[in-house]
Amino acid sequence: MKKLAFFFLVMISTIVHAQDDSSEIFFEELANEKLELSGSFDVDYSIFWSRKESPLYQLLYYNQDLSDILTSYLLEFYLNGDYQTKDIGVHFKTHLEYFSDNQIDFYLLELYGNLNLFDSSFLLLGKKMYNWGKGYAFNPVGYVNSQKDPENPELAHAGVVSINFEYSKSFQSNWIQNFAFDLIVLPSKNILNNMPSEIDNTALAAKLYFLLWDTDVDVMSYYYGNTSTANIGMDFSRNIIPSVEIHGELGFFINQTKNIISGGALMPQNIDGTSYLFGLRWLNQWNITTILEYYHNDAGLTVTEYGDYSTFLSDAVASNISSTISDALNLSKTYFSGSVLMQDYLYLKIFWPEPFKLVDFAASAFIIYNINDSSLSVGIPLEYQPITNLKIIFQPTFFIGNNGTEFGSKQHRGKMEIQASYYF
Amino acid sequence: MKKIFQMSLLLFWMTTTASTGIFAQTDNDRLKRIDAKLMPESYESYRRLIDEYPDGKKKEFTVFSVKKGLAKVAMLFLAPASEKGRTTLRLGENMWLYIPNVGKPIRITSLQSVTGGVFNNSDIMQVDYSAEYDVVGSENSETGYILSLKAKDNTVAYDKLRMWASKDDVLIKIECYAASGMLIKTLDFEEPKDFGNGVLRPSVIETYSPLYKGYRSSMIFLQIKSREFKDEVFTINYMSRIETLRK
Repeated sequence: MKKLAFFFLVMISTIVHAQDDSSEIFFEELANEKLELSGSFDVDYSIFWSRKESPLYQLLYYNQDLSDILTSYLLEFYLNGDYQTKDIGVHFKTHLEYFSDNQIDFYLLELYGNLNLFDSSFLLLGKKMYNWGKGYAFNPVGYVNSQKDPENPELAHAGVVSINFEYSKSFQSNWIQNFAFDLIVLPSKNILNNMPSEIDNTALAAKLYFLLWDTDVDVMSYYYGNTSTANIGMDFSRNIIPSVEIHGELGFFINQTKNIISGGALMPQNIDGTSYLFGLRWLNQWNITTILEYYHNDAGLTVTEYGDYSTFLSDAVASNISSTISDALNLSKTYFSGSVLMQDYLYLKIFWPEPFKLVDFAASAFIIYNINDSSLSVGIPLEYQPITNLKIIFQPTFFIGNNGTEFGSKQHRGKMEIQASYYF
Repeated sequence: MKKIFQMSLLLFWMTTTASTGIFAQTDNDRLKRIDAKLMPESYESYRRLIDEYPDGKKKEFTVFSVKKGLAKVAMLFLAPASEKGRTTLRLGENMWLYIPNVGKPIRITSLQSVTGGVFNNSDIMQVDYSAEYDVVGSENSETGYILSLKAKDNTVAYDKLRMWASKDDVLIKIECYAASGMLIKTLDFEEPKDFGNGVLRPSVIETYSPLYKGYRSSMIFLQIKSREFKDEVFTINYMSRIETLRK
């Protein structure tokens, strides 16, 4: 409770501080300040329409006779700090979730130091979120990325502990304008009895970036010594006309673990394969942005494999044995908790700021369509900004599909999320 | 007689060509002088962007911008808090937006607006006019002169501009036209201010459009300083670090 009170005190003091920005000279004062605090306070209220026949629902709420409609109420506090001098900086991003006095979760999303080195090179040490790849909803070449949620790809996620060296170079040339090189070392997270870990658990990632003929091009690779997992990939992004951007990603992987259920048990396989994405972003004359992407992943489950997983969950429920149910739930959370589990998806998002000249509103809609089993998730986020720095979002989301399909077997048929966020 | 006629024709052609070239040269020089009067070649600035809506509502943004050469611009949002930390980059007609939570730059276009008002991205991250347009005509006005400009290619936001300038090459007004000849918007350059170090220029740009009746946007320059930057500041890798330039 003391921890919560402290965060609210910090929040109130930073909000009061942020009110001073009406002064004409505030920017000069801010530039001289070394430490800057920012963040947001969010209140979330969600209503869920349960799908009681779903095996996942029956595992989650085993032997509980609950109402068809569930709700959750959550307070969230994001606090970011940036201490920056000309060449050295220290930065953090934190996230606090309050469900009840008994459940307060604190997450350190980022904590890193950065240093400008010689001749346009840069060093970063600490926990940092990366976002490789040009895709909006999916990133087949996002080897160092945090797991992305296609329902909300712009949500902040926890970073990874890393050492990042970066070098950039500009050219006065008609065909190549910029070049950059990134090398990321990811030390092992698997500590042994609070002692240092084996060096084999270290991973290495590297990326080359080129701005070639007005096209962004990246070539990247990732190597994890302990399992000999290797990835190599490339991406690109380009405006073919001023209002249309096209992008793509192509990744090859070697010895990647694919988790499937076989004979009623987890059966990890090491496979080689490809994953790719093609997409476009189109801005029309009414200022409506449309994003369309196709995503394929060889490491995803086939329809048969997803059926085996679904049967495994159903069998666990049918067993009526609490330990079997608990094991199945843990296995599901550990190995099958990705935002999408299968191989082929279409993603469509339409975003319309200030629709029908309603200045304080932004309307959008998205569809995540599973091509393999024809199930889909549909969301319609509506944003309202009544005053500066206050956003209210209403987002109904529906999970549609037959029994045994990916979205048709979610534990909820749909949900309505209402979120109010105040930024400071 | 035939020879005299041929010689006269040749002389006429040479004179016409030379004079057209000289005039074009003079007009393009005028455009370069307008650019030079408007901004130092390499600078940093603080601006406030205000969008006014038909119902009387206002949205305000404060931005820090840096520019180098003819066509390199980077910009950092300082306020409001909900936009703070967002950065944009322009290299010629390539533009990107970086949102801290997203953690990577995404391509945007000159046609849209990162603030949502009448100014589009091309206006907010304005590069030298001479980098994007050629002068195709000029005429004198009561207070100075008027230049007619044509975009160098179809990636430029406006196909044609009509530009009013004073006799001493200070911008007064610009009308922006689509290829169809339709007026898209008007930019008024107002309130000359001495920003120091020889930078004397309009401190307020107001814009309105027949396409957005009742909407009005203004850009107020709070500070402009000449400053040199490395080319590498204008790369997508640097977008998350533009704040360091303010320290």
